Amino acid sequence: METLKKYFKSNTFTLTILLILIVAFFWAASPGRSYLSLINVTNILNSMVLFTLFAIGEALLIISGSVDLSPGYIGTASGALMTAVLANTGLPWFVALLLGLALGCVFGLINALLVNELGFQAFIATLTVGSFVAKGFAYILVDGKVIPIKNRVIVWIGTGRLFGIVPFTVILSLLLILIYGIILAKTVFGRTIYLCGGNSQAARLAGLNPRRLSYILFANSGVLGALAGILYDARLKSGNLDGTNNYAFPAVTAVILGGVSFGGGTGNMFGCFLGLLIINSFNNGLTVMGVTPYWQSVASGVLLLLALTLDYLANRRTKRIKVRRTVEA
Amino acid sequence: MTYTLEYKNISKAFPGVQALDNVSFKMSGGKVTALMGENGAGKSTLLKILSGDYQPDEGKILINGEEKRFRSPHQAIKSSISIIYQERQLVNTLSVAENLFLEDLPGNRLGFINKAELRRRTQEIIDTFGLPIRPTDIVGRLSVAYQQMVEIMKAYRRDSNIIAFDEPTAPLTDKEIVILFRVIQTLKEKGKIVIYVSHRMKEIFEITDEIVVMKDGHYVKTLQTAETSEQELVRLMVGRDIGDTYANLNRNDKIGDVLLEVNNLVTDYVKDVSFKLRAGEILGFSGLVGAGRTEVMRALFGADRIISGEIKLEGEVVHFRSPRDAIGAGIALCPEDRKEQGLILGRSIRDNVSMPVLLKVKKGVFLDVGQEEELAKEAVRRYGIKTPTTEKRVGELSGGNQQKVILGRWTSDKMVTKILILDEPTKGIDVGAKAEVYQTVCDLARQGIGVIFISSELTEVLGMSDNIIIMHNGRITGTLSREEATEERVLELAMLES
Amino acid sequence: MLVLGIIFLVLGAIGTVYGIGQVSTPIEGTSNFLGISCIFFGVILLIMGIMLILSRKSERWRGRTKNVTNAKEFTLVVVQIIILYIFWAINPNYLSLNNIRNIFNSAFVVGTIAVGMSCLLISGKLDLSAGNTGMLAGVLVSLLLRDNLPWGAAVIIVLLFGAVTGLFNAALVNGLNFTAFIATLAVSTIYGGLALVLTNAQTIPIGNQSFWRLASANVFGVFPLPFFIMIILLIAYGILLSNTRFGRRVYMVGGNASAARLAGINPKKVTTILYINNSVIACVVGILVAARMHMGSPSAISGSDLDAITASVLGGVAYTGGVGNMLGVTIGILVLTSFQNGLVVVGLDSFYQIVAKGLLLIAALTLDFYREKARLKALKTGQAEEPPITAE
Repeated sequence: METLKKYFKSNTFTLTILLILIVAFFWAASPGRSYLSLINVTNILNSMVLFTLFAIGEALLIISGSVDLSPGYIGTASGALMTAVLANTGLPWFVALLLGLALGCVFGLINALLVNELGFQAFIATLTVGSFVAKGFAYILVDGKVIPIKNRVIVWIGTGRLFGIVPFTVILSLLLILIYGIILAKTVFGRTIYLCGGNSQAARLAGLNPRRLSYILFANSGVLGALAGILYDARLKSGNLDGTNNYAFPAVTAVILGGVSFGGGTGNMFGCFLGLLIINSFNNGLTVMGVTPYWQSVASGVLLLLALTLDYLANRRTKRIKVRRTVEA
Repeated sequence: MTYTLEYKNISKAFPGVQALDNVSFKMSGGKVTALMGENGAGKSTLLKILSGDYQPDEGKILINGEEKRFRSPHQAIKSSISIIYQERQLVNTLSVAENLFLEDLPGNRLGFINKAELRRRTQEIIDTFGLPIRPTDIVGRLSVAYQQMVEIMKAYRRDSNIIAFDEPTAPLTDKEIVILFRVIQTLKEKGKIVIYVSHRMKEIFEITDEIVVMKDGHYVKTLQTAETSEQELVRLMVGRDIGDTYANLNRNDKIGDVLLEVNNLVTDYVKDVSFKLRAGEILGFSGLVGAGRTEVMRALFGADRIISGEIKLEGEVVHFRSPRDAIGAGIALCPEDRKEQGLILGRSIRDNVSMPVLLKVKKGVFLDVGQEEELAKEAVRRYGIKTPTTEKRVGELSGGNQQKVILGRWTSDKMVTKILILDEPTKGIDVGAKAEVYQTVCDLARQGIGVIFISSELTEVLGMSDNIIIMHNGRITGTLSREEATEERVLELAMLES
Repeated sequence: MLVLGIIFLVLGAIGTVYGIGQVSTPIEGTSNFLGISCIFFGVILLIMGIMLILSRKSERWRGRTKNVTNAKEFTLVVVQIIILYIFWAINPNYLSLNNIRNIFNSAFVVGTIAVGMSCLLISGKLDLSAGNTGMLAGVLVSLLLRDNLPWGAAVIIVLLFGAVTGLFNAALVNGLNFTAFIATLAVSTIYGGLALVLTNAQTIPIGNQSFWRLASANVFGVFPLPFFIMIILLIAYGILLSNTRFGRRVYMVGGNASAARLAGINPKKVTTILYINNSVIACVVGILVAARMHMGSPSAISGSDLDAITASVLGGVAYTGGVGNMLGVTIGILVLTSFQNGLVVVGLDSFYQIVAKGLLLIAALTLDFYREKARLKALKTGQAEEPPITAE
């Protein structure tokens, strides 16, 4: 009973309602009610995969009080590295895959280095590393061309379906968000993220290590970004110049929409999952209705502003409650 | 005509504290009025109401008999009120001249600044003060003492009718204090209302004409400086019952072996600090704000870099590279700035209590919330934290209860705290809660914990400590035992000019 | 010090004389690379030698030399000289009159946006939507001209649009207290999307020839109008920042907003004006670029806001606010554009150019970090008796 009450008051409840409204609207408006057909639902989940990977990394970082704008570009670079290795060397597929992931890790560590050792603001450091260094690196790796991927395993990873229906990547992304959700909610490490995000100075003086956490989370975000980039290339069966460049930003939107607030310390994975569902079912709805894809970029910006506003209103509400309570006390 | 400023029935409450309770008194021009009282007596709140920073819950301010309401600092400035804050309000990246004329830089109607005029007028003020700085010097590159003088010149420049100084001499050296007093004298001769807040008795008797005494948010009495004495003042400020508070404490009388030995510690901020702490001892640290007490503790705790020196814990030399190491070795620190450094305000009591022992409350790979909950409940019970549940956010608690949460954190069953460092533990806590904190500290000492007790409140250090170490300018200037220590001796050592 | 100065002086003199000898008796078919290099380094050594000896001799000169070498701009000028020399050494065409013209011409987009951006940075804010605002402005002006509006009206409408977008940014940042970078990034994606929607991802040709003249007209027969506008803006905003009340308020707000507020200055008002200003300038750039390319394009100048930030930070503007000036920004723009142009001239792949630009930005920020650290350290050791400086 208590938990139910809590749920009704929480941000996740609002998000659920929002999701239901969006789904209901598009379901009613879509030609032939095709919106909720099995194929289209799979489509939504499928389009969500890459965003999910980015969102996991972003959620952890934003809860810890930071942000990363580079993973999209890192993904492109890692995908490019993998394809280049597959095309130009005789190395087996898993070595290429691991190299791609390692590259993501390295970029993540560079981000952390700039932020922690040289005192850059996270957004400017990651934007530079992403949109200049990683982006340029990707161009150099594929030499401005599109390189096809012929390796069967990699292609299966990108496009294979389990039991002939559910894409492997969907399972992978759902599994990852579940695992990270559990880590965040149930483990010491997860708690550390919240505590450092709430007040890193106090956390340090209480024996936690915010600096090490920052390195881990940036590296994690880089690796997840790399994985997303690799899956992207594997799906398209080719190494690509622009790859996942534009994926990280909508992921940040989803995370904020899901109730993680800038400044750190609050939010959870379930909220992020709902945020992802909302954005993707919204975008998919637009496509089903035949709206040009260019509107989706506009929509993602508007949604982010909306998310920020919701966050602002929620903060103001709790602040008011707090003031009233303390006056009573 | 003479200016008058009157506080009439002013009350102001903050969460958990009645900062001002029906305060009324009057000041007039051509006099320097001191505001005196212990920390938390309500002096700063009075100034902040005058500056428009706070709005009073009840009561009003009368200037020359006319009621004034300041909704913003800007309105107060316009009504010819200037306040020199303890936290200097300077733009570090701009020049002295620009900081003096922040809001009305001299210039023409098009908004172009007349730089020659700006320099000339600034130079005039600097000359009045007789300081060796130039109008074009960048404020951030000046020493803190000169920065403070710039802040004072800023208020002087505005030529306000009411000027309030909040602890202006804390960062100053003797040379500048002489200048400051000369300036105050001129202001007084011009018939201005000068309000002077300070803890330093010597200054109060040197510069002020009358003294308004505050205690626990109440107005006590206005004294004529010439007709009173330090003893009377202290009696009024401290009141009768405070002495009793300490006398009634159940103190520890069994002081054990040396727990901690610090030898010739040098950091960026302190020099050549050596002392010993015994089990069950309460070791007081006294000194002016900025004397380096907090910095010694941060170094000891592994939070700041140590340049040289040696720390021995129970006879063994230790090197802490981070607070984590120090905590592992049994040292706990309750920082001065509870809200910024001590607690995570947005998280629950439970989260804040279990913070340093997270790795000890695991079940398999997961956190054991049940065990955490027990720890938190234990803390709530032991210290009587007033809260319905341990889920309550710490930010919603009163100051005293917040302090208890920190104490609860460091003394939970999972901790092996041998040394507890308390930095200004009673700051911003009301009188009743203070007494509870005192007893708690004594109880901890009785359990054999060595306690380091830092406080700027003299009576508190004197009442609590078995031994008192006094610091000045990053050095230890003296050590007094409980029997030797008196307010005068401590103050003397704290202000010792090396 | 004195010995070093004399050695520099002698070496410099020898180098210069030798270099002049080389240049004045040119050998057919070879470039005067060696000679000019000798003159180049010779002169530098001469200057250094003179400075060293003078500062050794008189207190006043030591102060002056110190002032010069301590200035943030000094490092930049040195960097600029190194850049010029290296690229020229690789490809002498780099310093041909034609290419210098190129450099100045290409400086226009980044340089003009940097004017508005650096004001915002000094006030402690920033705007990542400037590039896309400019792009959208270009698209809008081309659409308006397609509907046969007189170009003057079209320009005015677009500038008004700029003011509104600036106000919108300010409302998000000041009114709703959003983090500046994320709010403007969101706005940026919206505008990027809108430009695509409006044009259907096609470029929109502009047929209005009198509109073209906005970009092709030359002022005094030499300066192309856009370049001229950039110079005028740099000078005007330089004066505004250093010589007017409003300009100084920008620094106060960026340096210590609470002190400014307590003195009765409204920080939100100041930053709101700067946001509007920044968006209008971005629109001017968008319009002029459209006039230069004879079309509105949904991809032009997108991303130039980052370049503008790079140039500003290179030029000594601290993105934490309160520090910087237009002289530095001007040199920053020069360094950035001559660096970019140099990469093209020496024939580096455009891919490497992107990486190199990022490394330049990181280098600039790192330099800034160490400069700030050195400043704080000097402050600390100078007055070691002081309590620690707390972060403000």
